[in-house]
Amino acid sequence: MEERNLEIKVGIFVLVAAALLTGFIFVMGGISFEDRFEMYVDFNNPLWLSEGATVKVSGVEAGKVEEIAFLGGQLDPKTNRRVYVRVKLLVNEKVRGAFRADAEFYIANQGLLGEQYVEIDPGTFEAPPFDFGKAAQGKDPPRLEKFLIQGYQMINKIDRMLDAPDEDIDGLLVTVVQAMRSLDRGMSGIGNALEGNEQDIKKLLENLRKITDEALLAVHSARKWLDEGGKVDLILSDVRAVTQDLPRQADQLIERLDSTVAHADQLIGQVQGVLADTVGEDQRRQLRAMIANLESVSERAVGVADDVRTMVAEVRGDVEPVFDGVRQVMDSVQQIVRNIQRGEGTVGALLADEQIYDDLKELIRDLKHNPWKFFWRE
Amino acid sequence: MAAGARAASGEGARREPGRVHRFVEGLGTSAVDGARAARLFYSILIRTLYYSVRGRREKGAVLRAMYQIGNRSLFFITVVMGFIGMIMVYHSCTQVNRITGDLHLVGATFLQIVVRDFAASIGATMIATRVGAGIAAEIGSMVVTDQVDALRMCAAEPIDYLIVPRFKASVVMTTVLIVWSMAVMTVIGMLTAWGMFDVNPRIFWNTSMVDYRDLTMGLTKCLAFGAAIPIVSGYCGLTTFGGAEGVGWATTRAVVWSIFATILLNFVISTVGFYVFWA
Repeated sequence: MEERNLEIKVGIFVLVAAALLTGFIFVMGGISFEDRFEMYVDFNNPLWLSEGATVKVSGVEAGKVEEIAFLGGQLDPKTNRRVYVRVKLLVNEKVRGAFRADAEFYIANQGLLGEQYVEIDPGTFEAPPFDFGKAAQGKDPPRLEKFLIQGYQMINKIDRMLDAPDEDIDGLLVTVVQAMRSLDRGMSGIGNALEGNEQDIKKLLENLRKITDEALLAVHSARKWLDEGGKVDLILSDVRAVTQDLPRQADQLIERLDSTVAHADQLIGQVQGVLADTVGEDQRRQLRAMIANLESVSERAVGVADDVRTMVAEVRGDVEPVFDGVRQVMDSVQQIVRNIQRGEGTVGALLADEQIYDDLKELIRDLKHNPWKFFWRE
Repeated sequence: MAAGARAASGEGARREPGRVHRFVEGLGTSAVDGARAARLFYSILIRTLYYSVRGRREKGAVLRAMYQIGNRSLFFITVVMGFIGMIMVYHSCTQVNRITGDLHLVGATFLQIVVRDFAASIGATMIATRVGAGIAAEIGSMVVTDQVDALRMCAAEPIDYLIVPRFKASVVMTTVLIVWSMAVMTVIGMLTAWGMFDVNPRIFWNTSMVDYRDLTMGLTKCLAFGAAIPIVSGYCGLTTFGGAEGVGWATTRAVVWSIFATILLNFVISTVGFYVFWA
């Protein structure tokens, strides 16, 4: 009987321990009866990720890291990417459907000093399904040592900057203070001008709108007048005809002028012959002077004709683009005025939308109270 | 007379050994004693393993040993390991609060260190103090009262009769006690974290940092320590000499060498496990 009691006591204790051990093995040993599938994620540097590490999908445990293989930059023909480290994951089958093409793979830390695990953001629902046939590209964990080095370099730069001569920093500060004060004054002025003058500004804008309406009407009228019977085209065609005829007529004119001068020379020669026989010495001298003047006049006339010819040739190339430009400008002005009237664009919206006036006023008041917003953002 | 004087003068002429001579002599004696002890220990170990497989089956011997080693140690082990778990969690939380204040991983790291190492090593130390001392005292008393010699005269192998049942019982019950210790330490640690640091038990029960490797290491240590304690203690008991005082010394040696054996084995298993699982 005593032996039997002993057996029972020992048996109970062993059974309890066996049950505990079984529980430990199931809970801690990673034994799972769920179906799992394999997937691969590439990293350049997975840092302290180890085999057996947890895999979480949206923060919920969903698998284990099965294997970490160093591939050393091999080219993966499926992804056409160089792979340094490939991590094989065993993930529960039930989360497979949640994966989308824009899924993201991180290596995260459990707490500040905890072990690393693979965190998967399965992606947006609207994206196409994930391609499990290819290895995904994971995002490398931040490297603390790099961060520290960069921080150290930045602190060095700041330190060097602060070591600069005090005059420079003082000057910079004085400039900044002055700029701030000027801005404050400007904002105050604008704010004062706006405050209590809402009605005037409204009227001003109304007037501006009326002016633009009238300008639009005027442009319409001008356009209509010009378009009637093709007056603009007519004027342009006349100008073109003039510019085309001008060189031809100038040539004829110059030819005639040349022949006239030749006749004049001939006539002068004859007159000189006659005068040599009939007039005295004084009269002859006067006539010689007059003839010399006539010669210089004719020479100048020839020079003027050359100038006219050159000018006409130049003008003919310039006049046509000028008239084309005038036409385009008129079209643009008409289009702008039309847009303004429809309330399109900044000016149109300014005239048509009362909300913009209120926003503008609010912006100026805000800048007046917070002028530093010119320099940085909250 | 002359012969007696010569003999007297010859004895007087014999030189006393110098300090270096005595040192070397002592070193040699220790080495020879150590080698003899190692040989004897090795012999006991091999014979224990052999008789565990091929020995006689005494009805109830293993069961009684299991009860003595396991059930009778339950209260002691529960209290000691519970307090150790409480102290570990308390100090862990205090230190973490000083550094980061983030206590949500205290449970995970506590479970890892308990399963992988502390439950086995501390538990085995406690078992060694109680069970090892008991085995050595019992066998030592039999040695000094010539009961062991009587066994030999009856053609009963003392190792088979005295050590093997305790060896078998210890391998099983040390594992059982250490698994029980894991549970006790975890529960007490969880309650400590909850009561003193407001760590939710669900957060404390975080097994993400424990895996099959930690369990394998823990269970391997359980088996190794469970085997080492009765063999070391049995060896100390069997080498008892000098009456009641000798029994006292045997008990002391059993505790010291059992604890030393657990620590040494812990080092060896942890190193091998590191290279097998983590390196």
